[in-house]
Amino acid sequence: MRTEHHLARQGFHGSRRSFVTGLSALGGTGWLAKLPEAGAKATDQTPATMADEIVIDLAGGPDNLDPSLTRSTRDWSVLHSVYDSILLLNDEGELVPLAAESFGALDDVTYAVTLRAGLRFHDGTPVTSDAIERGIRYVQNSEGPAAANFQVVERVEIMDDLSARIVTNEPAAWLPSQLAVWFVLFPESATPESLGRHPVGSGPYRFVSLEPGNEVTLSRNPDYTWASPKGVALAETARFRFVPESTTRLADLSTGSANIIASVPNDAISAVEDAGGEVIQTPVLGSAFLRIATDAAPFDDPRVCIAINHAVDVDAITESLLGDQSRRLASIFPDERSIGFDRDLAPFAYDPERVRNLLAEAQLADGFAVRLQFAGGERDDVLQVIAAQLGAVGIDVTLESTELATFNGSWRDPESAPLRLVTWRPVFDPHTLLSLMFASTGPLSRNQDAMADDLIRQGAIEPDTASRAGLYRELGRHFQESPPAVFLWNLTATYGIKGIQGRWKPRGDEYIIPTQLKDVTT
Amino acid sequence: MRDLMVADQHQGRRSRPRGGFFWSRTPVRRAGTFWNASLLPLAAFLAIAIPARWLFPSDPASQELVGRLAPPVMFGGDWVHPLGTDGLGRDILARIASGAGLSLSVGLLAAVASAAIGITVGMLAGSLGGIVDVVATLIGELGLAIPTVAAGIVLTATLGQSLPNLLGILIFTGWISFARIIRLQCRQLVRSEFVQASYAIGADWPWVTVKHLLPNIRAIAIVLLCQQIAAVMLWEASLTYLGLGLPIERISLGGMIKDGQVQIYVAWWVSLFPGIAIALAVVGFNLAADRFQTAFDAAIR
Amino acid sequence: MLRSAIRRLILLVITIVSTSTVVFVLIHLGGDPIDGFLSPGSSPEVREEVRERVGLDRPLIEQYGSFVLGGLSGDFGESWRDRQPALIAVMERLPVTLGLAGMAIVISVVFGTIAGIVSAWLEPGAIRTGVRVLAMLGQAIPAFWLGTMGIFLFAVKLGWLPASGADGWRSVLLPALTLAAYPGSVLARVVQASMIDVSVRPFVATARGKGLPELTVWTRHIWPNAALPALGFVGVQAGFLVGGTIVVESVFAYPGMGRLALQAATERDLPVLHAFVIVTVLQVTAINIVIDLVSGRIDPRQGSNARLGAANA
Repeated sequence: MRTEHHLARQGFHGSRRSFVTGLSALGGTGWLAKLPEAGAKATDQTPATMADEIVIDLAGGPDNLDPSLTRSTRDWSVLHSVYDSILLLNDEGELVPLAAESFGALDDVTYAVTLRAGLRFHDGTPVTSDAIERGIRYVQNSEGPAAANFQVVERVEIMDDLSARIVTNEPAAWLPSQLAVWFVLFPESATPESLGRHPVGSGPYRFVSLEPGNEVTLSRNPDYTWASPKGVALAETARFRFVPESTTRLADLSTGSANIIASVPNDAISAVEDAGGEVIQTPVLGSAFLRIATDAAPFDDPRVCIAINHAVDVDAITESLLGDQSRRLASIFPDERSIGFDRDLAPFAYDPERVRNLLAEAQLADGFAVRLQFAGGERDDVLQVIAAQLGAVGIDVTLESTELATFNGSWRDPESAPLRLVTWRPVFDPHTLLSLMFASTGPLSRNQDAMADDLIRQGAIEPDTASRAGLYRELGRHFQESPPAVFLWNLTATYGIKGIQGRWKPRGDEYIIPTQLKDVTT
Repeated sequence: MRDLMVADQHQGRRSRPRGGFFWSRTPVRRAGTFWNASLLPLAAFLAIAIPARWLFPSDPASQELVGRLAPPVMFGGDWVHPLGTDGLGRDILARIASGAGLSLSVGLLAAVASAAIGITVGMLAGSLGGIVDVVATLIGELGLAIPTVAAGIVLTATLGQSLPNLLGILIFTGWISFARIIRLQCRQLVRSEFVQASYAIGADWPWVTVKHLLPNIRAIAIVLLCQQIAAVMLWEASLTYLGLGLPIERISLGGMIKDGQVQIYVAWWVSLFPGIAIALAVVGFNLAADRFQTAFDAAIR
Repeated sequence: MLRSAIRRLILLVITIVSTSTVVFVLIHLGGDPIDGFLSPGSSPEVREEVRERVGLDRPLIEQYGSFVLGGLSGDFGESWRDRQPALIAVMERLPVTLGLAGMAIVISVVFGTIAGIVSAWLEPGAIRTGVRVLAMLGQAIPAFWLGTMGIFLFAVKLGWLPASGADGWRSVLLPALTLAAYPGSVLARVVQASMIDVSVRPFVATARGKGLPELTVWTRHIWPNAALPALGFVGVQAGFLVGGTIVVESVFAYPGMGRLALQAATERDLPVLHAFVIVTVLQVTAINIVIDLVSGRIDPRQGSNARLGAANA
């Protein structure tokens, strides 16, 4: 993948050796230093043979595999290994047909889908076009996060066994990206109970068992023999283990209990390498920003919003805390793969002088106090740095960690903090993010901006992708003159790998699917 | 087990030990000085925690991203940051001092409040008996049935993570230790010759309580208090680690250990020193409790 | 026996009712419970549907009544988030947690007792000081720190034990040891104090005066009398053990009830939270009943009173 890098050791002061020496100094445990690293003798697999088992440590996992209730990309890693959708987002940021053989727009409100012939579900039944309607209806009628996204689908017309038409009630060029992320194909025999506990799909792995809170086991689907853009299974068995502590995941990698570990903290990178593993850090299609409530003072003045964008030294943060795959964003679009990304748009520069001038213009020369809210569990060290940086220019920040339920209930609450940390993924098609969070009627929005509303609405119903991109670029420029957020950085994913070197590559959509593309062999 | 009934031993001369509220003057001298080596850990911890603001000029909140994760002075660092720096370049020694102060305050507050409630309930139950005792025992058993962490989970899930909530959890689970033991002591005291005699000559319950019960339970109350402070400090660290305790905006020892865990393989000092500080406090208070216990025992014999 | 059993049963009912009440009140005090598991972008229609499904649209009294009755009868309803019966979700993970707690109890009793006896019996010296210091430290080091160090030492460096998961006896050892450190150390100190206390009593001097060998004095006279308060103390630790499993399970990724509870707490999944608290209460009560029975058999005088007044060290 072109954006993948091997990380050189980043020159941290500490290392495993100094830890051990430290222990010796504390009293007689110098013998620790002489013991060989457990698991260091693991032999590498020969590429030609299929591994028996691959173990993946995730930072948590689903208790219930119902696709309509599953929210996080982490849990969707499991689901997308079992299910295939009709479309897939590939590493170049393109939507390619997966279970579909062809997919295209017939007109502004109709998509024509033709499934590949010969695909079978894990229970043996053939994959037919009624599965498309089934899948869409199921998500539409659910309570989950994606239900609202599919309300725009009015009906699905079945043309024959393998083809169907999806008809929307208004132009919705953003719908295909939703199909790639939230929609799955499942057989007629599925019930809500079986979807939750015993999923049957048509993907590269079959579901075997789920131990809630512990792990989920999948086995290779022997019928998945076609040239799928998702790749072929890497091993006979895949186990996803749910391990919330990063140090424990690291220990698992080191002892050989896991082959892939997710969410490696930046500071643990050298430890992974010491343990004989390889670290891969990739940018994912997601962005981080501080949402600004522009419906109340002092942020109803765009100059203040611009000032605060200039007040954060994002480069210092990314350099020391986030790794070299992160960089400052000019807007909410993370990179070229996202529709609307404008490579000519420059991010706000760190400029304390300009901050002071702008604040003076806005009658706030003495600075002001503001609260910054975030959901408990988010990385708070970067927030502490941001708070310190803003404090240096007279903006006195009080950090508030809120537990999730209160956080979710107060998006539009005028009493809640004006600044809120948001990390959003995927941002391939920005429509959902924009309509939810930056349109004035959006359920997550405290932004009052008529021009933004207009552009967002136009982008929603514009059928032509190139024109949409143009509209979003215009929106990006507008957002620089009247920022509804403090734009921070693009999200990255860091993985540790051991024992399967070179055979698995991370995906831009951050799903960990234990497959490899057929043409990539070491 | 440790019988603090003093009436018999003093042959009816005094119903309570001689001396000030915390120490008995005469008997202590016989047992050797109160102050000995076992109080060193506590002294060390208090020396760090109390004068924090004046002794440690480094601002615990000042960040310096360039110098982050610097090792302690013995392992390659320099004297500006004798115990090294954490993930944001903040001085660990200053943060420990600040966090120790907060942990100590939380511990003291929670323990003293638990003591006040627990001793009151215990005294009422032990000396009045009857329905009061039954109700108090019932409430005590109810509280015992809910572990601290479970209570913490429920409270934080509903009312959020904050200092008052943390204190609430600690007091809710802490008062019972006092109540149980004080209740037992009061039951014995109430049956003693002295108290019976007082009632016989017409004293009423409040007078008996103040004159006879309180002085005789103060010794064990102090011992329990020290132990409870230690226990509470440990609980605070655990709850903060689980995300149920002090919010991250405050510098706390438990929070420091939690933050430092991620870096443990490359910068072990970030977690180690706060851990040592907690251990020092807990060991210190427990040893102090032991010391008080020995001193009070000597006062009796 | 029967009286005490009935008393226990009544106490259990009262405990369940009051615990349920507290949980109910707290959940409703803290804002709309739905927001915990429902996605923030949901439309008002979906929110209404969900409220209806979980029964939040009923009058508060009715909700409270069925909540408490549910607690008593074991019908906690379905998890709000994934519609699986809440009790099943908790019970699925109960055996794992019980196994961990059980092993920790065994380890703490065995090592605590041995350490306590040793430190009471030995003359002052290096070993005795060493044991006492160890007990002191075991009581003072936070479990989560100990656990991480344990993983580093035994799993990563030595490779003797797995770092996480729950396959086989090896993966329970490290978590159980971590969990047992605190109660074991406290027990050691209690046993030590108790033994010393008993050893200076008149009847022991009498036994020695009769010319009995020192070993017999210790095993037949001192130990049985010292053991009882110590036993009562084990019961007190039940609360700590049940709560401590949550911390240990977090560090070791041990798939027990604790992690489920933390998750339910974040998402305000009331049925699961309710089921968890009640099951926890039952666990603690069960351990206490066992302790009571054992104490009652060893010394009929003591029974349940020992538990109430024992922890005096």
